[in-house]
Amino acid sequence: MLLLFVGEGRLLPSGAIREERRGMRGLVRGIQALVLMMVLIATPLLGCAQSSTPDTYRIGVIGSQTGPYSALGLPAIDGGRLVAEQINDAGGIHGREIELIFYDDKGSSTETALAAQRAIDVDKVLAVACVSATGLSHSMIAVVNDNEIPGLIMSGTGLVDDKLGHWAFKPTSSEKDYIPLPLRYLRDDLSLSTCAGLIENSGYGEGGEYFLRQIAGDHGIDMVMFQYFDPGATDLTPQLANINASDAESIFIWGSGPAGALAVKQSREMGITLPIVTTPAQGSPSYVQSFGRYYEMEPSLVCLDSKLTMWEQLPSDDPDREMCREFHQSFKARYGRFPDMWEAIGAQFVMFIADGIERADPDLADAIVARGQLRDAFETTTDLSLFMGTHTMTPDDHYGRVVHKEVLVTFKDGKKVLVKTMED
Amino acid sequence: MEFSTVLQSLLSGLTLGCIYAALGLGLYVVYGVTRVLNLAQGEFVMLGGMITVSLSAFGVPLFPAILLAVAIVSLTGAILYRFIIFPARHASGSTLAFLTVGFAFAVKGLTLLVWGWEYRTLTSFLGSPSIHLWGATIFGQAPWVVGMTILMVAGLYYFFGRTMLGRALRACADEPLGAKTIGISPARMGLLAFVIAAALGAVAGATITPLTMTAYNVGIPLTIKGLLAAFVGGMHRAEGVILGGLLLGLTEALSAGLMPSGYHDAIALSILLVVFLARPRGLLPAHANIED
Amino acid sequence: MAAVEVTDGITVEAGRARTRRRVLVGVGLAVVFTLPFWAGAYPVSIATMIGFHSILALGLVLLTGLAGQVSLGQAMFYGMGAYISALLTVRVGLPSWPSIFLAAAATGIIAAGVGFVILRLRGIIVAGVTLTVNLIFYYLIMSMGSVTGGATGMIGIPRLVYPGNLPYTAFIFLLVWLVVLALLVFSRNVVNSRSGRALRVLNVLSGGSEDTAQVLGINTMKYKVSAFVVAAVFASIGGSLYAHYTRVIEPSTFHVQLSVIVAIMVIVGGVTTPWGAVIGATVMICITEILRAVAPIVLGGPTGAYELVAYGVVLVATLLFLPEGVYSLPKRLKRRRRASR
Repeated sequence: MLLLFVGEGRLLPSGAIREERRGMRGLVRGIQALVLMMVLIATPLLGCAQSSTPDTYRIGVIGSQTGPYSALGLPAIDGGRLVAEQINDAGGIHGREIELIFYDDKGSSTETALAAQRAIDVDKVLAVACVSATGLSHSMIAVVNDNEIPGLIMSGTGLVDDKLGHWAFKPTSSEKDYIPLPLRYLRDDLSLSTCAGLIENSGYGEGGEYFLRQIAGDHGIDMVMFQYFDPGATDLTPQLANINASDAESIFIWGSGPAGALAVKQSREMGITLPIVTTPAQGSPSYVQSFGRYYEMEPSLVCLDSKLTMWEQLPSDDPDREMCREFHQSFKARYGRFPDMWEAIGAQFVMFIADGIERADPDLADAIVARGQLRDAFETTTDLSLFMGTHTMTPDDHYGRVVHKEVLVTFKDGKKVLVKTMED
Repeated sequence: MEFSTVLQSLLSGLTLGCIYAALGLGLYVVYGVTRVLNLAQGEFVMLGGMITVSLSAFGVPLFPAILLAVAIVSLTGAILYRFIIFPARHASGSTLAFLTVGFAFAVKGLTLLVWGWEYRTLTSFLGSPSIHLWGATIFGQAPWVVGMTILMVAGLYYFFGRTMLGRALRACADEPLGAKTIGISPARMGLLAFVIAAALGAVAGATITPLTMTAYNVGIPLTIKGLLAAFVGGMHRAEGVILGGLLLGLTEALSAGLMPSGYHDAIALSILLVVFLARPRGLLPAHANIED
Repeated sequence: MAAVEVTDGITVEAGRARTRRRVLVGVGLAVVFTLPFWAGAYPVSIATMIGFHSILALGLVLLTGLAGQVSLGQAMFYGMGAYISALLTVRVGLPSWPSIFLAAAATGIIAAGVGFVILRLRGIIVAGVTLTVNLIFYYLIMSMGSVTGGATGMIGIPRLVYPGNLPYTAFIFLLVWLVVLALLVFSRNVVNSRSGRALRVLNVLSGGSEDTAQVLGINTMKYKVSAFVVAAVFASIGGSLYAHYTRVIEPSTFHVQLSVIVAIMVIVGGVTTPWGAVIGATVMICITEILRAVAPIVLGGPTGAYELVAYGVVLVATLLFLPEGVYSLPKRLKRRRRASR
């Protein structure tokens, strides 16, 4: 745009200017800068020209396509996209297709809020879903409540569960509900009583630390020490040396970025043989591919994971086995790789929305009415079985009651092996 | 405080310091010759790592892979100079710096398109094993990183001090006008500086990847670290930049090890800031012949 | 604004130019300040963001354009305004209006202290130091979790209370642009005042020199620190308004990244005039929005990577073809015409 405009001034042959009438010149000159500004301002507004009654269920999906959290946003987008395609191939909902519109939050909360506003106002979506880092997704809470539109947020922390307002929903897991699983593993399976936390400096890490401090004692584990690292840290040996020198019998690594995976590698290279349990991100395929050798060193790493990735090893009577198998295989067929945690979360956001639309049958002729209908349907979500949990919500609780489906896995001979489920 | 923690922090700081120093050296070469603050230096490092990883995955042996990566990244550096910096060479310093920022954005986006978002890594060179020493650990790759930085310094000293081309470059940096009158083309020297910086970046990228992993978005954080190293050490002397890098690495690692709290990043930077304010012209006195 | 070059018939030309300029400014003001009443919520939210960035960029122009100091710390003062105001309302329970002014005062005092320490330095070094201070600020609010909410941020910051039944977004929009207008007027007055002349003498970027200024008996520190404090106070007011607008703040908003973007805006718009700040903020934010609107239509699916490439290309192209900023565009075209006449 800018290029074209700048180019114009250069390309005009001088003769053409000479023929211009003198009086015109002043006007042309004065308008130059204004035109540029107008073009720049007008173009985004052109998007406003959308038809008034959309023939699809439009959903805005805001995620990190670039920036520090793209390793979580891009997979989630893939997962959501697959579910939408499956629904549409099967004839859509109430005869209409689901249309996902993707926005990049660029790892910034200002951009997240702007993208949400664009989805609501220009693309006239029915609902927005934010598949982004914990801190960023919080900036959506005010936007969706102001604009009175149902919005899903992917916050990984339970610290906001009571601050969602009338329009924000959180169909995902809060750490306080699944922390007991790895703690029980340390206590029951390994007969340990002390643990050191290695915590990422992020919203996700903070939630983890908060709830570890709160409830570890209830599960018979004494958190003797906390160490911290930057999400972009490349050398965690000082922190690991401190942990090694303490009387902790195990390590809990809490983080969503690559540094958490590096910590596992570096601790094994340092010859630290304490059992390590971690949050799900460290089990992502790309880290397993890079560091599998270290993950398998005794005692092998134990990682929180989802039933989705482990469906083959679930007992044949597990109610979620079939759902996970189906998604796992279609995902591989569509993208040529296997889905993981973030893919599962992206997928379950779209499933949650589809379930709401199914029950609400929103009247798309009036966007305001439709949004209200969808919100009411979300509030009455009952026993909806998704990949990470089974969700039940009420008008007073937009996180609701969640029956968790997290599992613990470990790594053996290049494979993930199921260790423990929530039911065990 | 355990002795092993202190030793581990020192070793970790030394390795980190060498990484930051390598980054800073790339900035120093470009700034010295062209007075451009090249904020795309981290992207050269990132590209060097990504290309080496990909070539290795295709079965190319390590050292040819690194050489090929250096060639490709040097070409990128040449493109940056010839098509972006050279046409704007008379613009202000901040305009030139932000031109390199624009280039960095574009490189980052293209890398994301080509390679995707996944983090990648290499095994340590020649499979060198970790060394355990009085309760602390030296990773197998760490000696390679330290060696690379030492080689870089030695190479730059030899090049600038002993070769015709290097002396011409230095002349261009010290006395642009005088250099021109005796027939040294500043444009050609600028191109050379960018190519050298890109090549240094690529080598650094390949060498640190086994230690730190690489991905499309590691460039800007690395640039910031390199900048801090160069500022603290003083942009006008290579030794200063190296000292600055080591200081940054050591304060980071020591504060992470000895002050185990979320505050360690803030503490490390504050120490750096105090040192800087005490010695705003760099840790070392300037050469007499370099204008400041 | 742009001085009319000396030609024959200078007075007529100048008079016409002045009238034209007044009409343009009048129309511009009318368009901007009635925007919430005819445009949709989305354009208003973009324009509000342009306003916030203009405030930051205007402060930087004051500093860079007049005092010749390049700062990469604007995001920090923005963050101070946001966090102090949020803390006073959420944790202390003060009403929101006074907290904005308390935040501005506190930021001003901190900025004076920081300014006295770092403005003794000269040139590009100042950019490096402000960048470091900004990073320290970022890590501090990340780490002080019990006070600032850490990386999770602060949620539930109250709205500003105001009379009448204007929608809140429209109210914030008008408020932000009033601050922009106030800053513009202030900047113009400073440029034409005694301190403005003093500042220009010591502006290294446009050929002045601190040594000259000192010889002339100008207390350079006083002027530089004042410019620094004014930029910080306005950034703080902007930050407080931002906090009460989004009602959620988290540290990554106030990372060095924003300081760099603000500096890019100033360079793209033009360093030499306050208008450059507003133009730069408008151009850069609109480019992002255009890419956001166009890319999905052309490419479909996630388009973030393409946007990154396009943003880089546009930035480079703008700086290459308009090194003095978009503000200089009409003048350049005019000069080109003159040359070809």
